[in-house]
Amino acid sequence: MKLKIPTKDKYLLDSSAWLAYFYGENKQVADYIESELILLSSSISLLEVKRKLKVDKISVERIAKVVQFMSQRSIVLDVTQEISEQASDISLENDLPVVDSIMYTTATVNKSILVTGDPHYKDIKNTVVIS
Amino acid sequence: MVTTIQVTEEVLDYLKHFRDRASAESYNEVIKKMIKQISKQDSMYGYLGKKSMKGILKGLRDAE
Repeated sequence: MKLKIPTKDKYLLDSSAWLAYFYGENKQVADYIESELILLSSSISLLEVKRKLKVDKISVERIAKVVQFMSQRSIVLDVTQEISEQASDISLENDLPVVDSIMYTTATVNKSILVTGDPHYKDIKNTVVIS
Repeated sequence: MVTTIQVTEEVLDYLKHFRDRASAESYNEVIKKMIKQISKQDSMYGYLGKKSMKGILKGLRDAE
């Protein structure tokens, strides 16, 4: 049996956007997270957020709660071969660092808009830079 | 924009049941209600205290 489902309004939050939420830096990002929108994350964000919180000396229990929240609220996407290969071109074309290009490509391959706090993306299409 | 998904007859029966029970107009609306229920969580805004975006980005990625 086949059903029709709308596939618009997908947003991929990068690590800075997630951290802006947990660190209460930006109310705009809360509007995305505390909505009914479909949210995506890159598995790299789990690495980056966990690493950053360890550096910030956040307790193991709190880190686990943050990671659990991210995993439950968003669909966590792996870095595939397709993403890796496209990211190499996008990195060079847009002068983006490697991880930034993987995040951006993960968003575009999955037909979503990247939400970030990173000014590297300010002139790149299909990107929302929260500020 | 819409796309197509495949479900079993059993799942379709559940969807029909919940569509009628929830007075939903479509299967899409039923699925959205289910997703909302599953992903419903307490707010964690500001859970870790306060930090500026500059502080968040510092050391987040090796190249920055």
